[in-house]
Amino acid sequence: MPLLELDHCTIHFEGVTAVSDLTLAVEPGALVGLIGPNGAGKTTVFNMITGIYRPSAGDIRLDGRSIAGLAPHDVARAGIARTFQNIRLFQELSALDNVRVAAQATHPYPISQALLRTATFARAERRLAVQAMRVLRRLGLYHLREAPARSLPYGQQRRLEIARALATRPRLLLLDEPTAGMNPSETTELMHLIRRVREDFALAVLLIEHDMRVVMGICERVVVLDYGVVIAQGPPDAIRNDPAVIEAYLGEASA
Amino acid sequence: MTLTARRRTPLLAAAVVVCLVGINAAAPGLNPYLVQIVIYIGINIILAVSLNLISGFTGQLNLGHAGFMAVGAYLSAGLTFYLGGATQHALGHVGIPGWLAGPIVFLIALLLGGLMAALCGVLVGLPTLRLRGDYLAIVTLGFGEILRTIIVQLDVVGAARGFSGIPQHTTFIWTYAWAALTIIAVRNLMASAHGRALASVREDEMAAQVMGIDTVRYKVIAFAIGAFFAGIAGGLFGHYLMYLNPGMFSFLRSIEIVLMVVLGGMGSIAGSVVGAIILTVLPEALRTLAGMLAVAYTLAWVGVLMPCLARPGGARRLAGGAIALAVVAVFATLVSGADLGEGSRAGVTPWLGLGTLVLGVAAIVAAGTRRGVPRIAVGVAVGAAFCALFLFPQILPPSAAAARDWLSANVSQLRMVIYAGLLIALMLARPQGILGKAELTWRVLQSIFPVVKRRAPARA
Repeated sequence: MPLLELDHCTIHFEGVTAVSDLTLAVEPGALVGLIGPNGAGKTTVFNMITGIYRPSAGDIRLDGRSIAGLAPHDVARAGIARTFQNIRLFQELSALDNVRVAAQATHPYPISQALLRTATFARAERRLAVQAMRVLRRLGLYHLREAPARSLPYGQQRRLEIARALATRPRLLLLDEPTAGMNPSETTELMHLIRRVREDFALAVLLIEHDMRVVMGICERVVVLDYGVVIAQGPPDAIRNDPAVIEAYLGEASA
Repeated sequence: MTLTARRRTPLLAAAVVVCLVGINAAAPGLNPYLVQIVIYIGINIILAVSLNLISGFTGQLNLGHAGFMAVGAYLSAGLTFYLGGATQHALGHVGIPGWLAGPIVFLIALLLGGLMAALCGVLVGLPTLRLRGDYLAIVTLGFGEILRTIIVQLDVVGAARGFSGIPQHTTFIWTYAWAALTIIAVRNLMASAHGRALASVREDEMAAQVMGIDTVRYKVIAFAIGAFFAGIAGGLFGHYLMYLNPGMFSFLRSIEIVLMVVLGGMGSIAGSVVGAIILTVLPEALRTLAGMLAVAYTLAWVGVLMPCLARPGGARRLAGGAIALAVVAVFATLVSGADLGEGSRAGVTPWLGLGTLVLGVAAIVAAGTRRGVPRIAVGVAVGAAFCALFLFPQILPPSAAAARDWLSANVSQLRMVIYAGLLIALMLARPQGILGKAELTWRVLQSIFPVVKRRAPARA
């Protein structure tokens, strides 16, 4: 059974159809690329999956259970985490706190314990810190844990966003243009990181990306979206030679 | 001598209790005007710290805090006024002595007032879930006014005439114990996962949701806890003044609390305390010519001391010296049981002058720059002259004394202008608030007073 299924999903905004009849499946552990020209509706798909938008029609299932219409925080707790195209870290909080915020849903304790500083509070906070440190160490951010997120260099902020998403212990990670604004060596490094993270955390990854080198390099399957409609999907090599894709997207780039 | 984490908390608690009991015992002998100001400072600390939880830490602009305060004030006052006597009587029947029954009744009334205010906080939190920034500010403003208007219609609590005859229960201990509780609660909350969730709501609500934070729930929690303590502050206020009037809880009162939080620093508990102290003392100090001079003189001192502050470690040593000497001065005043001045409002101000003089001496002791000494010496000389002017008026020639008296009588009309001007100057000088986001932590205290030392962490 696929991990994530989008079943004929459609979303309208005041007469504009942003995504139309989208059907898509992500198998457990898969690495799927979502590409398409600007305005094709890629980020809208992410917003729909994470509960920020509710689909006008169709269903979204995680492990066969419908998650369409759930609040974003319930979707996150169900096992879907994401990053944002324009970085949305908690700027004033430290790197460690950014990750701890994300980790806390997996270690809940009542507010009364925090007010009274009980042993339960201390234990839960210790577990949280350990989990957060572990994620930071994996992503090579441990030495920056005390720094406010806003003070980190751009590349590290992108990494911290991934660390924060991983701390929610997701089964599916949505990455929205993770290499945007990066130079070629940073991009290569990030490709390795995505691959490694998928192995280490046993995740499926759905990736929006403009950099064809990344898409062709790491994705096992690619879905091409244009005007909210899937125009092709399949392995990277097949997509590269698909006439509809060349017409809509690659042709535009090579022209 | 070093203090470790395990020993310092009970020690600090004991010190605070001793201070509170001491001040409480000394209070009847002190100038009642001064006592009133100190109680208002405590109440304003509760209000500012609780508003800071909503606006500073959670980022939800709230212009209706006085409304929550009014709910707590009126409910608790109504309870003690109508049911207090009967309840104390009933408590007497089950063998609880009279000296204990009063405080029990007061505590229950306060808590019920706080809970009712918290309920109002939840009510205002719920419809505003989708609102942000200025939209939320408008809704909270309206909500505060609605609460006040409802009270104006309630005849049982005196409606627009005001509610008089409330029993007096509030003392130093009640006020400052609640102030301490408020500070501890907000601090403990902010140092926990729940506090980080509140901060994430402030930083980026959408990102927080996507990370599994139920932002709706946390906004309601912030409003409920903040409103609870505002309700407590209202209860303390009513049972100190023994009179309530809906006009006391107008929109202006809410703005005053916002000012304390912004001036001290959004998101700093210590900042809210400092803001509450300054904005309670400043309008009172500006009532007289002497007070105005004292304020001007204090500000001049801040200017003089800037070079010391700029030196590495200078700020710390200066703060250390000043805090130590100020504590000594306050205690010397209390222990000597001095009636400050002639029991009039003007009586406070020579002591303000004396306080800044003490600060000057502290600066010389603590700063220890050879270059700074002449400037500080000039400051001290001016301070001494200033104190002499008010403590020993007979040294003035008669014409100068007459001019001073004429100014004293007429200058108070400028009070609010000067007050506003000072606020503008302060905000221009430090837009992030006096303390910004800084807190008075053990680490800071330790660098000020080397006595307070933390045991080096054991290495595995």
